[in-house]
Formats: sequence, C-alpha cells, structure tokens
Amino acid sequence: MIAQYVADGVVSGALVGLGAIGLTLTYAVLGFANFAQGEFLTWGAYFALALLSGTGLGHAAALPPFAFGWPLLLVLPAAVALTGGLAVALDHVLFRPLRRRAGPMGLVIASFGASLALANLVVLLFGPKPRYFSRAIAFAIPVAPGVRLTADRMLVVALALLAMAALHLLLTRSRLGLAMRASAENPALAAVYGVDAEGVRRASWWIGGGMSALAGVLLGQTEQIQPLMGADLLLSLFAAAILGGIGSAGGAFVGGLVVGLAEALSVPLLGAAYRPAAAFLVLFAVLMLRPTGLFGERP
Amino acid sequence: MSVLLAVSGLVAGYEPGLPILRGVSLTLGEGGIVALIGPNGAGKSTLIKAIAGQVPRFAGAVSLAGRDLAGTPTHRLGALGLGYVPQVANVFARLTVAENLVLAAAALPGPARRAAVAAQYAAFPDLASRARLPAGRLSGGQRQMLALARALLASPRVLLLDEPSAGLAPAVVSTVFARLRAIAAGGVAILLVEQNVGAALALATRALVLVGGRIAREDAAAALAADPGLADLFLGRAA
Amino acid sequence: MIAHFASYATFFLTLALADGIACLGLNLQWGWTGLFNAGVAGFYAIGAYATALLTAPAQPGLLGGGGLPFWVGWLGAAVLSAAVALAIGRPVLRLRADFLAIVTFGFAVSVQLVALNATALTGGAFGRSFLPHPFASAPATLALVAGLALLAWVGLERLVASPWGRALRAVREDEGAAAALGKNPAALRLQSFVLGAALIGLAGAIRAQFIGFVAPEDFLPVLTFRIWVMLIVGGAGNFTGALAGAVVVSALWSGSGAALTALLPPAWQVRGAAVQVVAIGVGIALLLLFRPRGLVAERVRVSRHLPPPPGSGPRRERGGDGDGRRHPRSGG
Repeated sequence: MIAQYVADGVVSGALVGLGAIGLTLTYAVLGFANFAQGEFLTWGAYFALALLSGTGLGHAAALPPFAFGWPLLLVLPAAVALTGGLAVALDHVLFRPLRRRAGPMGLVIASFGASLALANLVVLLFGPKPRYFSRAIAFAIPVAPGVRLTADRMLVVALALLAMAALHLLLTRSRLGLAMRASAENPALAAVYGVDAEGVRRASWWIGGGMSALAGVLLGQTEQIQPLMGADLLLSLFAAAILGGIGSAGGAFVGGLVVGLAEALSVPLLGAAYRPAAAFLVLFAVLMLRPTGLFGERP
Repeated sequence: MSVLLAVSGLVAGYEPGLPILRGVSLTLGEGGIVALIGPNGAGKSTLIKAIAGQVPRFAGAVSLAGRDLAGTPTHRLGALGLGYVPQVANVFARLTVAENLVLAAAALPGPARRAAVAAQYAAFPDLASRARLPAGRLSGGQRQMLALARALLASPRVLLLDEPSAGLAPAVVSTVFARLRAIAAGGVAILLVEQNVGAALALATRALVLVGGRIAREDAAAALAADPGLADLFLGRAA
Repeated sequence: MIAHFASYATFFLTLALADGIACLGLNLQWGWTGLFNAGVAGFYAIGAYATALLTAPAQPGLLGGGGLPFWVGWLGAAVLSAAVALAIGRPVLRLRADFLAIVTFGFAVSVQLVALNATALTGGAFGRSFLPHPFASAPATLALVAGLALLAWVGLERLVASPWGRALRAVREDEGAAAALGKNPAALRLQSFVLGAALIGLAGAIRAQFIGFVAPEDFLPVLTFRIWVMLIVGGAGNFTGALAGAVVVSALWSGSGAALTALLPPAWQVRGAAVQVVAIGVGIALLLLFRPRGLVAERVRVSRHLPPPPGSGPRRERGGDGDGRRHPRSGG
C-alpha cells in the first residue's frame, strides 16, 4: 500500500521537478520569483490541446502501451515552442520594461497579476471545464510487488529525468549555460565579460517556459487539462525550486521528488483534501531550517 | 603619441539632477599608465564605470581609438578593445577558473577562442594549475590575476582598473603592479584608480587628481609624488 | 431610482471601505516596513471565519455559532488574525523578501484549503451563513465602517509620525544603522506585521458580517491581488492613497463586473468574470509601467540616495545571516 503511494509520489514529483526546472532557471537568471510560471504549464497543455483539435488529429488511435497517439508527440514540440514564445513575449511587454523602473518586488507583483490574467484568458478561450487529450483508458501495469503504474506515468518520470540531464549539460557544458550561470551570479559583471544580458534573458525564458510547458502537457495527459492546473501546482514548484537551491536543475528535480513524495504520503495521513498543503509544509520546514533554501547559496 | 582613449566634458552619475562627475576630460596614449587619485567620494570609481558604460553619462563624450562610444553597451566594449576590471567582485566565484576564461573568450571570434585562453594560461601559470577550481576558492591575489587574465583575453588596447590593490597583502600588490608594468610595456594603455596614492604614483607615468567630480590637477607622476601641496589638493584647498 | 442608487452606493461604499481597512493594514506592512505579504487573503479569511464562528447562530453539525454581538466578532477577528500573524511572523519575517512572498502566499492557500475542508468549523464549500447584520439599517452600518476606516487611517498616520513610526522608517531605510542606534528591527517588523494583519482580519470580518455569509471561494489569490492593486493604485507608503485606492479600485471592479453582466449573454457569464480579471491584470501592468508610484505618490522622499520608491520595493533584501549584505540583484 505504502509502496503504491511512493510510486505515485515519484511520478507526481517528477512532474513537479520538471515544472520547477523551468522556474528555477528563470528565478536564477531573471532574479525574481515568477508567480506566473504555473501558467506556462497550463498554456503548454492548452496549446497542445488547441493544436490537436485544430489539426483534427485528436482522434488518432493510441500507441500501446501508452494512452495517447502519435499526434500528441507531433504537437508536443510545437506546444513547447509556443509556450517559450509566450514567456518571451510576456517578458518583452511586461517584465523587461518593469526591470528598469521597479525593484525585484515590483516584478513579483506584476507576475502575480500576469498569473491571474493568463489563467483567466484560458477560461475565456477554452471555458472553465476540464478537458482531455484523449478518452483512451490507461491501463496500469504491475512494476513491482504492490505497485502498478500506467505506461504514461512511467514515461513522465523518464522524460523528466531526460530534461533534467539535458538542462544540466546545457548549464555546465555550453557557452549559453555559462552565460546563464554568470548572469545569475552577477548580471553587471556578466556584461563586463561580454555577455549580452538581454540575449541570456530571452534564452532563459524560452527554456524555462518550454520546460514548464512539457510538464504541463504531461500533466494534462496523466491527469486532466483545466485552467488552474498550473496555478494549483505553483506552490509545489516554488517548494521544489527553493528546496533544490535556486538555479540548480538537478536540485529542482530532487526537490520535486521530495515534494511529490511528501504530497503522496500526506494522503494516508491527512486525507486527499489537504494534499496541496504538503508542499507548503515542506517549503515552510525548509525555510525554517535554512532561511536561504536548503542547498541555496548564501545571498 | 596616438590617443587611444579620449574623454571630454564628461558629466555622469546615478541621477540626472545629481551628477558625480562634473565635466571631466582626459586622454590616454599607448603604453602609458595613468593613475587616478583623489579623496574619497571624488568620483574616481564613477569615472572608470562611466567610461565602461556602467554609470549613465549625461553629457560629454568618450571615444576609443577615435570611435565614439555613445550608446555602446558594456558587453560590446571588450570586442572594441576596452578592457575593464571592476573593484573586488570581479570574477564569478561560482564558476571555475577555466569557466571564467571560457566565458570571456566566448565574445571572441570562434577560431581565436582556444588560443586566447591558452595564452592566458601561459602568462599566468598559477591559473593553469587551478583551472578546475571555483574562482571563489582562489586567494585574493590569484583572483586579481584571474580578473586581469580575463580582461587581457580580448587583447585590449586600453585597460581600466578599479583599485587593483584593494584587499591584497603588500607583497601581492607588488606582484600585481609588476604585472601591470609588463602589460603597459606591451603597448596597452592603463587607467587605474588607486586609494594607495604612494604606490599608485610609483607605478604610474602620469596622474590625475580628481576632486569633487573635476580634475584638479594633471601632472607627471613623479612630479606629483614630490609635490608637498598634494595633501592640500586632496582636502579641496587650492594648491 | 434615487433610492435604488442610494442603497447601492451604501452597499458599495461599505464593502469598499472594508477593503480600504485591509489596504491600510497592507500599507503598514509593505509601504512602511517592506514586508511582502502575498497572503492577504489568508488573514482576510481568518477574520471572516472568526466572526462567523462568534456571531452566527448555532447550527446543527457545525461548531461555533456563538450568537454573540457583531462587535465581539469583529474584535475576535482582529485578535485571532493578529495572533496568527504573531505565530507565523516570528519565524518567517527573517526570510528575504521574495521567499517571504512565497511563504505567505502558501499560507493563504493553506488557509483556504482549511476553509474548504474543515467542514465542522467552516461549513466546507457551502460556507457559513446567517451572520447577523450589525445594524438593521445599512446606512448605520456604513457610518460605523466609515468611522472605523477613519479611526484606522488617523491612528496609522499618527502612529507612523510617532517615534515608533520613525524607528520603523529607519529600519526600512537602513537596517544596520537603525540597529546600531538601539532599535530592534526584528521586533519592529513583527509589530508592524501583526498590526497590519489585525486590520486585514477586521476587514474580512466586516465584509462577512455585511454580506451575511462566508464561503471559501471568496478567499482565492485574486483577493490578495485586489488588495495589492488598491495599494498600488493609491501609492505604497501613503495611507490616504491606500483608502482612495480601495474606493477607486472597488468602483472599477464592480463597475466592470456590472457592465459585463449586463452585456454578456448568460452562457458567457463565467467567461465574463474571466475577462474582468484579465482586464484588471492588464490594467495593473500598465499602471506599474507608467505610474509606478501610484496615482497618489508618497509625499516625503526620505533620502536622495535611494531612488526606488516604496511602491517598487524597499532596498532591504536580507540574507538569512542578517549581516546586511545585499542580494546581488538589489545592487543598483
């Protein structure tokens, strides 16, 4: 019984970790807590949904053992790219002009407003009711004694690991990654080193928005698509990113796993209704132990 | 002597109504070391930062080898031949020594990058042996050397240094200064800000005394070092 | 027609001034102390449920239902909200500004979760109803609320002009120097946070009492946003502006809501509410971009060395070790 909770926690933790990788990247490079990051998950899922129904590909047969068909794989990169573009556009019209005029907390307020506006824009365009990529039923496969998981959910874990590894390589091995880490540490000095700060910021929004969109599509496939799907996850994303240390891809993933496990294991203890509060308790505990985050750098 | 850096009538500061620099003009020629000295709050660091594009310029002009730098962002200056080493936090502590150099080399054209980093390792063997160490774990002197190596990567014609001796032990300061002499001998024009007036005048060929955002005096370094009226100048009294 | 308008104006002003009291509290926390409270809805909810428990008549299956006079409920709301602020403020106010925002946001989400699920206490999704009106006549209630708002406004203005207010200001401008002068920054911040939370709790109680019921969906993050918008419109740091902002934003909020209800077909009503939030989100973005100090700017600028006005955030960004070093990004 507990093993099943752990397995479910790992799956939802992987999703949280994936979303948090996007958050931790923009948090580190842009230097503010983006309360609209959850909406990038939402928009990623709805972009995929719109592309599926817009192209009429939504009814293709599933690819066993998965509960989705090849069209979802086809529209996934497009949804990721569109969400990255949305993040860049949001930065262009809102955050970039504000950066010069308001302090970091002005950006936080603006992102709070952007979060509400983006979530409600989804309601406006797609309506408030939950939607699904497909009506196919996912069958759970026994993977260990007492543990059953659907193939879709196992794919979530694999893709999250892959994304984390890719971002880790990008940050440590590429010139862009170096520039991102440098900008996170000291943007003024990065300019002295010849780094174009705007280029780095744009890249961070593309990647951060795209990563969250991937998490959103996977969440939409394994759960449901609804306008508050990202907003509901925001606290978990923050908890994971802070737990893992702002700016660390691997840390965000591990943080996501911890949050996911805490949420899953809170169900037998507190009941499913209080599941979202588990993320808050984790966050609270972490910040009480280490006010700068568990693996966070001293400011 | 060809003029490499020319500053004329520079007015700059953090707020338009409150300029810190109130009309500064100076020129820098090939291979010279010019020390910028003056009392605290005179605007020495602000002048260096304003030239490097890190403090807004309200009036006046800055040109590098005849090219007007108006509107040129800081990150393009290295490629144009202007090296700048800020005070203290001048390397990325969380990046390794190698990453610091590779990042700076990224601004160079592709084929030149590898050779440029290798050249700095050859010039600074201490850095080569610590390439994989985070820069935050270097000693103060090593960090200053890394900052210099980083600035030299792009083969600058003008080097701006903001208090290169800050926080360093005297023995280390003399090593750094010896290095600066060698760099200047290679034809690079150096403008440096120094709190340690004695050491700065011993190093420099020329010196500018900045008081209250204006250049109060400009002379050969040796002449200024021998001038008993220098203290009065620092205190704002006419010499 | 005129009678209809007058009764609507009374209704509107009562609720707007209740929000105004919350906005005054938030202004003390943010405008004067630099505490980013992203959990306004949490304290608002605590105040609303506190008065519901104290003043509503007993109902089968529900705890509380004290049937006490409304003023006991309001007092209880302010005290409970303050007590919760005291309990969570002690540990969380040491956090840097952005982490404080995230934690208080999470606090409000958790409070809303309790409101939704602790059915015996809160009535669950249906909430609690039958809260008695303060007075039979709505204008009398308005007069009382206006009196309370006036009292809070004058009281806060006097408070920030007092030695306590000056110490608070000193802490906001330069924590290290204030500490060196014998002020206790942690205690001052906590006092400001608790007092602000008491006002927000009182506001929640007033609103709940006036409407007659409380329900969890009234305390979603959009409530926090609404109070923040009021503060931004009014100009952070300015108590007069906070009250004015509350009235202006309330008017825009309910005006746009009424317009959409009138214009949209019934099937589109849910989406109409969405349009409203989108419009307000865009509006506040434009305001932040073009009038970052609000419509009424703070009157006094303390130091010419400190360009960021309080509306755009205080300079202080504390690290956990409290040594006054700045976060790299806060350096100008």
